[in-house]
Amino acid sequence: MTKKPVTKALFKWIDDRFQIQDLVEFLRHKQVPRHGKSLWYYFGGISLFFFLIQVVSGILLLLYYKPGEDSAYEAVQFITAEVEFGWLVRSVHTWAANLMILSAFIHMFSVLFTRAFVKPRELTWITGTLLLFVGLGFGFSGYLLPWNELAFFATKVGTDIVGAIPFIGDSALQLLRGGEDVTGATLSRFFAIHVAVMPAIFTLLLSVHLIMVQRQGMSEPENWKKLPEGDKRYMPFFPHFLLRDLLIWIVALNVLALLAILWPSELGLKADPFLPAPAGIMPEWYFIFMFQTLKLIPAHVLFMEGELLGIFGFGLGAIVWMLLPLWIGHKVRSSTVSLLGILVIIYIVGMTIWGFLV
Amino acid sequence: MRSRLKDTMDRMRTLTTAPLTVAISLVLICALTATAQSSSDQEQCYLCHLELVTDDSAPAAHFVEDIHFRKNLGCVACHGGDPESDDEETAMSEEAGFTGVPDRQDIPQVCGRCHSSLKYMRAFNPSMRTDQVDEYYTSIHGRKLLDGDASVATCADCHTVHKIRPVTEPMSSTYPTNVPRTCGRCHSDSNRMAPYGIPTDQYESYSSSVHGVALLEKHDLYAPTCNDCHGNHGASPPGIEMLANVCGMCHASESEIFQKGRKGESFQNLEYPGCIACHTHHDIRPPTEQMISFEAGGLCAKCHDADEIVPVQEGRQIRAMLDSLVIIRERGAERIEQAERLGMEVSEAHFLQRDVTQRLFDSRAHMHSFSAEALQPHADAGIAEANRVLEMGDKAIKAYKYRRSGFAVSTLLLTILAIALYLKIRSID
Repeated sequence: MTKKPVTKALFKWIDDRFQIQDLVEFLRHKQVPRHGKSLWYYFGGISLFFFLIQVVSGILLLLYYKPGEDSAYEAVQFITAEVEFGWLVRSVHTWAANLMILSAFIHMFSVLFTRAFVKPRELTWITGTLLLFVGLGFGFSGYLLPWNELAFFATKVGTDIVGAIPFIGDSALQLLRGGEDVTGATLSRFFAIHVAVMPAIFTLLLSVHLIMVQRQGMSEPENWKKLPEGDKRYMPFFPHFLLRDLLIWIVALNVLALLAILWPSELGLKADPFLPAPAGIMPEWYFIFMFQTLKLIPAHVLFMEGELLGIFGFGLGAIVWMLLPLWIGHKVRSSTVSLLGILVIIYIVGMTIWGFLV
Repeated sequence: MRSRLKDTMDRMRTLTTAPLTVAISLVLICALTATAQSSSDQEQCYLCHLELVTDDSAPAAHFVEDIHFRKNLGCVACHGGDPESDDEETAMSEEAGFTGVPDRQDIPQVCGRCHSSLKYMRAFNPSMRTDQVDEYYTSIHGRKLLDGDASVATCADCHTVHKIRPVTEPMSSTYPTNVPRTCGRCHSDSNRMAPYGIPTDQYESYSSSVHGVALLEKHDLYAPTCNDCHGNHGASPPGIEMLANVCGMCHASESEIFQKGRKGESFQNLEYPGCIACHTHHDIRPPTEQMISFEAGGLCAKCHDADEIVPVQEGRQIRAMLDSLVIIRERGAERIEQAERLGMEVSEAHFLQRDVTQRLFDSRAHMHSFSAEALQPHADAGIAEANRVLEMGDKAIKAYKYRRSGFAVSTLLLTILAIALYLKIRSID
């Protein structure tokens, strides 16, 4: 690749100071395995793409959004009705959040099924699961921000669950809500968490995650690894893989535009704490499997309260899931891992459908 | 008390042919004696009379529901006698102060013994008025009673005899939704009203009127019932001079504008009825713009000839302004509904539409000035806001179409880009 004199001079200027030649060499020689399961490699990139959209659309929304009991709903209404393309930005922000969670789930399960989480990628898996949890936190904190009826009562139910944690429940609830009930103070806290705390944590985790992925390269499926060296096919990361990534991002952008334009986000009625909760209060779809499980657990199970048991179960499940590479190594058979993944998917999908139907 | 009740119950069990009302009464007695502590003076009268219950009209049949029974005021409070004695002769003797059934002429005084005493009534309800009897004697009913006509309504005709409930209880004969029927019991009876020469179609007219529908069908307790216009204890037909004030109790703006307007004074001078001249009284229909017309269905021709140039022109101008406001408001409503169906955010337009509706009410109120000049600023303000709603609806629909076409263009561009990328990938692979 020949560089033009100006570009060459600029490159040299930067390289003299930051020694980027090594990085360029690394990218130039980086190879990505080519096989039947290559498609799954792209879901991490799709999640990243939706995150970037979230950042951009979130910043645009911030230009007009005003947190507060008396201003939040009105601000979102103003964004939707008055601001030029405000409806589109809000709709894109909502849909991209949902698509980001969906693609992150797909990415996580594809990593599980291809056994890409085992040594040496334990920490990549752990940071990935942490990213998903923070992503869910993004969804939960952002849901309240329009301060509409549905969001208000869903947040009330959601934070009530935190209050059920033994010993620290009350204090955690107070800390999260900024008082006894969901009020303007809760909205301010959720806003701060959504636009400052979580982006900081997410960016940090994401950086670590991406550095690890780049450092260790793409994982290779077990079957592919066993192939003779001559039969293994690769493609250069740059530009082949990156162009494919770009192509998929364009398709994802098209899907996002379709959803955002044909089904724009509704605003509903303004939250009124003095009104009874309306029928059909539901959290976002990615929390429904937990919500439905908690509904199904009896009020008391042996010596424990049912709700508490559910919270412990999910807490423990999340830790076990996050630390999966420590329990499941290379010695565990692929079919066992696949069975585990299938069971978890059946549980999540089944409970979600059940939750929507009842 | 319990043993007496048990005896009564045992005796009651022997009545094998007791009608259904007895069975219902028994249930009520058991329920109420279990919860309410009866005073001693209602015990014996009530228990003996209970055995005499054969139909709904028997005094003891419903007395358990009566507010007096519930407040531990027994039969003796109205009828005198000795409530302690179970001997009929002793209990209902003159010596014991038994007065029997009061004459209709005396009923207001019998009720007034307690109800006109502020000191006595304060023990039960400190906010209760005690001027009902005085007011009653100013009413057409009271005046006729004093003149010796015992067939007019007295306290018991409206409040019932032994089933008196507070006005706040929905089963009370004087609860707002029951008042038309209570009054109608006499006023719809053509035989009873024949000597007085007054019509008997008021209930029928009222129940299909805008007020009647609101009260009886929609259960809107703010809607006026008979006593809201005629008074209750002082019930009288409102005179011509009182009409605007009566209607104005609720329709304050219309009444004030009418009285200050060009027709208020002339109506008064000519002794024309105010509001009812156009709106009638019991049979009041929802007012419409069509009423302002010299054509068929209009009301102006009732007083004016179609060749009177000034009233006709004024009427047409008033009608045109109101019609314009109504039509643009309806168009706006349709437009924002259409935009909403397309998924557009039009809450601001909905909010403004409420203002337009308020402007329409305001304009309709100012129509009672019967002056196009006085109405114009109000109607113009409404029309301007209605036009804004229409514009907002149009803008939302236009924005929807723009989004669709914008999406089509962006999809096309992205698809071209995707194809170009795909071809590039193919070429370098």
